[in-house]
Amino acid sequence: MNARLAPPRLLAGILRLALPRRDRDVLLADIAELFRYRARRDGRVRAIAWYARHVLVTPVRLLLARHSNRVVLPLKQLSGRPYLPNPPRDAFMMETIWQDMRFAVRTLGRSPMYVAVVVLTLTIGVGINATIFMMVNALLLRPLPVLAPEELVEIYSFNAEFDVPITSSYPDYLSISESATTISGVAGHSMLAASMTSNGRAELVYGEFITGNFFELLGITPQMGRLIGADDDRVPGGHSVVVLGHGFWRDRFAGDASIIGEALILNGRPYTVIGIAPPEFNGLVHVFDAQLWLPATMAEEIDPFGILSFQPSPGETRPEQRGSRWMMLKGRLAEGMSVAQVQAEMDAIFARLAVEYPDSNEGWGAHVLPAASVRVHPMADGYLAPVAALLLGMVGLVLVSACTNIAAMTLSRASARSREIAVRFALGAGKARLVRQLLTESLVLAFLGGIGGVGLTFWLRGLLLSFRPPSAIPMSWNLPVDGRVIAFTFALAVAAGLVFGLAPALRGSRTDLVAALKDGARGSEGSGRKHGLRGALVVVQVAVCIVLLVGAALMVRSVQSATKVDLGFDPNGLLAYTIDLDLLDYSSEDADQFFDVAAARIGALPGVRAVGRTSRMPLSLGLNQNGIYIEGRQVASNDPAIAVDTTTVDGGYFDALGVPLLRGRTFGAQDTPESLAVAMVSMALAERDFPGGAVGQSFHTGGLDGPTYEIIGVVADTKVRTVGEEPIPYLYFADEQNSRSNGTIAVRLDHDTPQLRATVRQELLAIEPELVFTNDSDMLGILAMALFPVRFGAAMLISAGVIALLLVSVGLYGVIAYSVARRSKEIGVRMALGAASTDVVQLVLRRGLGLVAIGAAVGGVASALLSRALASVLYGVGALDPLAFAAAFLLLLLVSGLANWLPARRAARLDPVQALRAD
Amino acid sequence: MGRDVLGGFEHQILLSILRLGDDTYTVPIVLELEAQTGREAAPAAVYIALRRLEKKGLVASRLDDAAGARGSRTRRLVSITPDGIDTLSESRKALVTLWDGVEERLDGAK
Repeated sequence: MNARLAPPRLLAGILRLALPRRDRDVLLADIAELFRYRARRDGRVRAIAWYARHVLVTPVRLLLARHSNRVVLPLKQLSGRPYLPNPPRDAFMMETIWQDMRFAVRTLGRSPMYVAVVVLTLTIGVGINATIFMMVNALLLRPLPVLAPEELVEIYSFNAEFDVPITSSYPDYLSISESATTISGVAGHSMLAASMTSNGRAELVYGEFITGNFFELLGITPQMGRLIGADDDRVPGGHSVVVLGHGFWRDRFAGDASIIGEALILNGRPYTVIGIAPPEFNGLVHVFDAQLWLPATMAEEIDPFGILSFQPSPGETRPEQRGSRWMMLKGRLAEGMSVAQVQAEMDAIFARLAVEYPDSNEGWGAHVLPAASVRVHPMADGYLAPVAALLLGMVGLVLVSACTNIAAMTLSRASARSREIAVRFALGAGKARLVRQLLTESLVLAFLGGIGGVGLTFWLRGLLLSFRPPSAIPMSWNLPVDGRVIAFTFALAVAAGLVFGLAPALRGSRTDLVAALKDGARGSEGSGRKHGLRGALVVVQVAVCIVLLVGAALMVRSVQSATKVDLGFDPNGLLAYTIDLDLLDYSSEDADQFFDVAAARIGALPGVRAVGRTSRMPLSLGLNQNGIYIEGRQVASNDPAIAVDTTTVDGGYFDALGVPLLRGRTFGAQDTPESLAVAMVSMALAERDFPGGAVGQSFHTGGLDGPTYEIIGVVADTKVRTVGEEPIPYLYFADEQNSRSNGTIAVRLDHDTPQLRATVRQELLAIEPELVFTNDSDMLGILAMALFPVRFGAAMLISAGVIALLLVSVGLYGVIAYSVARRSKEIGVRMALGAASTDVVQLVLRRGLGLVAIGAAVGGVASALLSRALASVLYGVGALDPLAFAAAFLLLLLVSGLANWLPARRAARLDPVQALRAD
Repeated sequence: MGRDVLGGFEHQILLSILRLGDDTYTVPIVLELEAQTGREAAPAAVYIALRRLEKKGLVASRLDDAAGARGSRTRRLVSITPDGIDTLSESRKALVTLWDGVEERLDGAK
């Protein structure tokens, strides 16, 4: 079935939940069929509006119909002129709804505190759910901003050796483009970083390389000028044109239209601006904001980044080399074709390419996925989805807690109103009419809560946008509060309002008429069942609260221990300037010279203790892995390599970081490209692979007959990938023996002052005024980036935990205060008979703390089960950390004790005479 | 048949079923109502009215489990019962009698 003609899945899901089990599938299918009919006749947008209306209307209609069928009105004859009469059906429906609304607003206006607390509770519960949903929506649900995104497929190259879907080469793209028939077109794209110079100043810009048919395939039309087309992408290196992103054009060029036709200097070469992309399109990689687009044929002049893989193959430049894989491919399904058919055709094409070009394509296959199922990359998605589920689950618990409060409040209100309701009944109001009235009240509250929720979402969105990871890449969270988010918010508010407002309302309307009228002001609120329900709600709240607090405590403990962890070096006073001289078209000799001069000049500055150079700072995002071969360990040449994390450093690096040398020597001037290839190893590597002593031993790369490296020194372990890891074997190659045009200059300061930092920076710019820093940070910044997920998670869980604690205390206070009020007579009797006030306090506390104890026990067990889900993000604490559990329980005990003690104290101060006389 | 058994909407639905023939279901009825009255009909309203008519014994329904034959979804198929036909013809008779002699007054009003 054509996906465009199916109702939106979210709405259909809501409808499914709202329908009674009986005939649910029949009704769903009927409404879906009418949706398809309307989509064909009126267009999809109007059909969705129609469907959304029926998602709201259908459950209400069914509910009303069910109750009106059960109406028994023995008392109708009591009065000739009923208060709130049953209106004639259909004809005055709208008028009645309006009447109900006005009546609801009036009734609610009489209890502003109740309204305020319910709306606030709903706002918090719904708002934070909507906020998390907004993030999930932005990252995982929102379709790409292109024409018919559901027809797009991702085509990855796949090699069993890597076990990860990988990008494709430009020649492979051309081969697919020429022969594929199951797709109507295929386009490639890849991220790029370039240095843009204007007026002698250089800045780093990010964008995408795209093939000539990219914009056309995706159905994107220019905001201004023209977009890159097929004619802009024919000759490798021959098309110096650029399309600007709308945001970049607006922010960087003040939205000046005359930029079209002008030249932009990228990596020292002019590119003519030919057009501006529309505002809603900012690239195909979620979260990454493309600032400009260049033709893929220019991928030799500027380097792409992302998932790159290289195998030697004929051709001078990247766009000509079949073994250079760097482009993500997206195809559009041809009419009537399925993903499986594309996969079959790609299998055939890749098999043919493997025969025609064995050097570059042997062992490579294709991996076709529907584009809608891939958000960032299949591998990253596997990590994102559980995180999203975890977050949604967490805030879902807060909503449950908020709803129990609303239910408890509505229950006591329903009890208090039972007399009013009984009077209305007696005057002849129909049951359905009353239910509808109570329902309208709930809906009005839900609507207000929904508005509050959307407001809170906007506010939290601002907060989230400011909480962005410390990274140089222009990551736009790009969190739109779109129709989907708003629909979700209101659906949630209405569902919460209905479930937790209507259930007590129905119960309230089932009032025993005679008892309610006889019992006077106190109504029938003494019913034990109602009391038990309120107690049960508190137990649920306490349990939810414990789960969230334990999670928060675990995260806080993680952050604590993560900042205390010994990294193997001191992160304070350690600067890290990452530089890419490729962006300035440096030759590798010039680059080497630049780094040598920079090290010498910065090292000579007063206050600088040491300077070193590395291809990667510990704990940074990137990672290099090499396979090594050790004689004796591997025998045959096809034995698998030992994978180790590697970096390239100079001798100064260890001084700059302060990593002690344990044995042998560090790299020095005697190590040159011509001398014997040398390497250093971390303690963990030495112990694992060279138990008899590493210094003097050797290993090979690329096979047993590959280049030989001699180990000259062993250094202490440092953290490599994450703060929480066990020592990882780390291999250091000599920077002195390699030439690299990019790398990080690590500078150790004696005293970290802003002036000294500025001096170091100026010194670098004095050597090369157009220098671009791809990362201008320090070790603390790198550490902050590495700890970002756990800090973020801690902040989220603490917020959720505090809100849950607040809700628990309100709920508990309500229950106890209610029970004290109900038992005031009994308490009065006890006191008159000689009970001391401490006895009374004890009596009241016993009930409240009993509820807390049950809830805490349930929550404790649930936490023990659920905290395992957090295990992968915890540092230095176990999922069952006793301190975290104890802290959570203690905090809950304190707060709930207070919420309990306040009404208990009031009970103890009761004047027995007053209490007995009341009523 | 007691009086006011047939509401206005129920009347329209029975007539639609009569027009559509037996073994029809909610969707064609909704579309028929919309085509003939020019007003939008809610599927839930039609569904509820059908249930009510069934309770009154004026229509009979069964679940269509011929799954796979035309798509794999289930429908609730409805048909008019003899009682339903009786009720319709009774109400028609009554209405025709009532209309008798007053139709030209409508034309005159035009």
